[in-house]
Amino acid sequence: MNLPLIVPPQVAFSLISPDLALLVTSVVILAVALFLAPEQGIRWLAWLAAAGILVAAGSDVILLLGSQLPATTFSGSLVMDPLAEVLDLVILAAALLAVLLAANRPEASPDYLALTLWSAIGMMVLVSAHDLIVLFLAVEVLSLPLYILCAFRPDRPTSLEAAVKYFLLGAFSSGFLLYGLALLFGVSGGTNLTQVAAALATVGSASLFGHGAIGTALIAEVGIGLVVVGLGFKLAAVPFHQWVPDVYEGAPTSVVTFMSVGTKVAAFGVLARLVDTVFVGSAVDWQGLLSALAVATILAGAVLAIPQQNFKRLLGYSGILNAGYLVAVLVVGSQAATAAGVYFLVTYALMNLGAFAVISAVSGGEMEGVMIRRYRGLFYQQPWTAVAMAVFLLSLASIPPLAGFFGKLFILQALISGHQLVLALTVVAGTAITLIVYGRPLLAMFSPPDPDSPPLPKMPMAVATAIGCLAVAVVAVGLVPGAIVGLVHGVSQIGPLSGISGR
Amino acid sequence: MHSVIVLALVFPALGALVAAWLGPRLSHRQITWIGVGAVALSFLVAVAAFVRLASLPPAHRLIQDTLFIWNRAGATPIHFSLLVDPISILFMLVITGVGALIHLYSAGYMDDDEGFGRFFWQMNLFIVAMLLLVMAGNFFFLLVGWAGVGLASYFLIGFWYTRPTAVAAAKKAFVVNVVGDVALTLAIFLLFVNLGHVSYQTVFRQFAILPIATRDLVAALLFVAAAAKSAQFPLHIWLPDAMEGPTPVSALIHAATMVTAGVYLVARAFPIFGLAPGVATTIAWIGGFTALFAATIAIAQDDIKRVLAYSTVSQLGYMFMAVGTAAYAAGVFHFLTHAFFKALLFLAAGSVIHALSGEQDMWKMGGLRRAIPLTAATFLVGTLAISGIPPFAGFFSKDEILGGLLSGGQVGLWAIGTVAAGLTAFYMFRLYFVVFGGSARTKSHAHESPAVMTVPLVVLAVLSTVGGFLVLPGGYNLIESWLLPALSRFGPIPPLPPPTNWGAMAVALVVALAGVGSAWALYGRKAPAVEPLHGPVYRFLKGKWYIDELGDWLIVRPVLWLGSVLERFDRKALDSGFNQIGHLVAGWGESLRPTQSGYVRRYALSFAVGVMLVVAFLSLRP
Repeated sequence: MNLPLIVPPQVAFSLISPDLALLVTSVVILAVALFLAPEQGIRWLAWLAAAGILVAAGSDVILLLGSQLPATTFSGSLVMDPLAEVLDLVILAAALLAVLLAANRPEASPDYLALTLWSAIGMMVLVSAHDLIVLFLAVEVLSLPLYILCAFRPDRPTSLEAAVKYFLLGAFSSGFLLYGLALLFGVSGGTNLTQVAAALATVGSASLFGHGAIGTALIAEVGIGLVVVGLGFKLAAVPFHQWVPDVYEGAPTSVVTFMSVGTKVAAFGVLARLVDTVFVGSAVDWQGLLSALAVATILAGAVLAIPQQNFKRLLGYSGILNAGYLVAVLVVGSQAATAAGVYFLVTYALMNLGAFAVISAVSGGEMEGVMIRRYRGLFYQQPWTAVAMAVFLLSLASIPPLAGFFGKLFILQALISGHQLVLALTVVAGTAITLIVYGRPLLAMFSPPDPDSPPLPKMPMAVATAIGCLAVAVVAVGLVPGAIVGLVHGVSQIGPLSGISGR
Repeated sequence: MHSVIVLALVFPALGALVAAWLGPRLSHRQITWIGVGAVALSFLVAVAAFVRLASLPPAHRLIQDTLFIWNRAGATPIHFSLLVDPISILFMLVITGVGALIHLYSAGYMDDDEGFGRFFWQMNLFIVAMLLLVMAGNFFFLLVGWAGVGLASYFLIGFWYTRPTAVAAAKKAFVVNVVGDVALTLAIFLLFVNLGHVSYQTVFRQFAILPIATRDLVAALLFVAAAAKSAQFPLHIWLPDAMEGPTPVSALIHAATMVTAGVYLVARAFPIFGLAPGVATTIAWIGGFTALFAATIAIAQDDIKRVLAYSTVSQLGYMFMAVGTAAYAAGVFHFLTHAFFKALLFLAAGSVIHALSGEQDMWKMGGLRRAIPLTAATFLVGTLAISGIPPFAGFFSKDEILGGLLSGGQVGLWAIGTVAAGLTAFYMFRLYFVVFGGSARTKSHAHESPAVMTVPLVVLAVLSTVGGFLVLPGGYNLIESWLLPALSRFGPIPPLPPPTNWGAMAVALVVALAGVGSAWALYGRKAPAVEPLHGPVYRFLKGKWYIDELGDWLIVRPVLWLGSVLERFDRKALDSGFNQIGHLVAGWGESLRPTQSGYVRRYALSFAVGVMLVVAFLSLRP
């Protein structure tokens, strides 16, 4: 009896060094924690986690600057290209901020740090995924730790509620995602994206009520549709968004900070890769689907954000809205459009991380602290915090010359040059509505303070530094948009990976 | 030299930052060191750049420094680049040199003010913006500086923000300046859309390929911008009101530097105006009219600073006459001497106001020659200079303009300019005699200002005396030989100005002396206690030709009327309409809230419906 010979894949470890750095750090943290009394040394472990993240980011930068990219590894199931590495950096930034924010919080524990790092690994693998199975695994690796992290304030019912809701709906969506991936595998007989793309390119289009061979084509359509559903859930696209506000409200702020950016980056990355490698060659009307999702997401996100009284819920809807912009720009399907999306994500990450960092610092872990009314007169109590928050909010509202303005501008440029005028108008409409949304907390911050509001918690130095750096970055990126454009232009060099030798 | 010139911007920028940041914690003395030191260091950089330029052969006098690519617009990168050439270096030297003197003076003048720190950081901010304006290597950063000086000017006019008149004046200045900003922006858009570039050299090289209509439009828009900034008729209305700001502000911003930005723009963009001769002629005539018009108004004003303000408007008219007739060297020369003597006059006036504890009505002064002799002497030097009495600076620069006009065949403009010169001598000596001559009209304990204020006065008086010798009639012309090789780099060399016109000079001198004589006859000899002039013409001039009232009737009231009509329409129809939309949107928000029920089963249901929609969308599509 001949057993099929299992050939271990050749692995270029240097290419996955960022992921390895996080993995090693997490294991070290858990091992060290065995020897520490609880409640003791958690700050040191947080610093250790931060150091591991910085090492990962450093090796990421080395990869970006080196000549190895683009390359594939694990027999072509992981692809390392500038897109993946730049998005990795954004994910790492989100993880770093989450760790810094959590360091002084009740949720801080060795498990918390390890779970955050593992989730980050899942996100980083996802943006590199070039194989259906790796894609699914990565989605699960990023999601499972997040479900647990959401429950990290067991003293609060809302935290547990958030975790359960997120877990149930996440499992629900994973089912659809897996089914969609299975259908794509069924159509193409392979799991590598190159294989899937080649197979889909030969499948024509079909309609239940039209002509053409129903069968393979229908399977391809449903497969792509379900994959978009599954990733749309992670991205928070309407109508798969309803978990977002509840989870953002209930989960610890540091976790929300991390997931609001990290999950979005990872989902956008993999969707962009699917669009660029698989969707563009197929006859399926993926553009129509994404357009419809984008319009629904933008409008619903913007409108629903208006009545929110809770800052975290407000930013949850703002996250939905911004997911809509990202879906919209993917419709264009060009590499320039992907680059615009990446630029937008970088700017969004800066201002969103900043806003959540301020919320985390101002709330001090209290539920009441995240209400918008709590921000009345913030300027008179902590002027610099209020100014930084104003920078983040104005940037989110796309006011020039802040970073958010250029992010939106490049998206509009991409949409217009891709002849997606309806989407462009929707983006403009969404932006107009958000002026109301972000205007309210702005107004509150600069109104006279409430005399009987409790004093604000003192801000830890690391958090203050992080907020300051983010605010300066938002202003600087806006003043010198060319600085990041150059980086992002490198990102646009993704696409079919034929011709790249596997390692 | 490369990348060193940026220090000229960095020092005052740091000064502004430090003074703004630490201002409340620093003593007045420390702020003075920072504020004055920053501008003085900037001046040293300008001097170094000047020396460097002078050491180069005339055709290569250019320092260009690209600091970074600011942004890509279309296919064009927009560089943050600085360009220092013989034109900009003259402006830089004046901005930083005269600026440093005025900063020093301010240390004495503003010492009692609790906004001392605020004053200095805003003044330093102005210096940064003004330097950026003249050092920018392309239209884009010119615009940044252009808007920046407008902002600083707005801050400083409204410096005493508890006075309603100061706030109103600041607003008025800002609104009028924005008219110019918009015109400049449109001109830059036009250039960019048609040429794809905003850098001076490229724009000037390619400008000739544009159709005539576009060229005229660009030139006209640039002129509107210049007229707004340089207070040319009918956009002059903001400058006299701007005297609400502290006197050093009036001296620096509203006499010596910012208001000459328009002159700089026309001189800098001369290839554009050279290809739009109609617009250039209009500039010259508007300048001529403004020179005469403002001079007539200055005759009948009683506020010492307002007389000087109208005289500034009038002198700017001279500069526009010059640059409008392509006599760029003469225009820049007059800018230079005017910066000296007008800054001197304003600072001396400030010294008078300081001595009289804030009194600005000249009819409440008198006899100050004895009380504050140094101020009186320096003011007299300034008066002689602006009146065109040799050998003071104004004589040479004004003669350069007037002589050029006559030799160039512009007899009409020459006549206007000459009459305005006579009026200038008249109203300036009227001011001098009433303020310093005779005896005190009201009781006062005038005292001479401290040295920190009088030293700048003396330095400026010396400059006002000798500054004219850069050009010797019939002899050398340093300004021209300095500027013309630089100009020729950007475009066809403008026609060489004619040799000295001795006839024009003689007439101008006689007219000026006549003006001085009339002033002596009316105000000097008898030293009247009240204004001896009266009658309808006097009232007309005192009412400033009722331009403000005319503007009120023609523009403000119709706009207000339209506004009130629209407001009613807005409130009755649109507002409720938009409120409806607002309520509708908010209502959607509210009405969609029940979808966010909090029940996971509902979420899962809507998720499933979404999945069905997605699958149906893809598979049922015909």
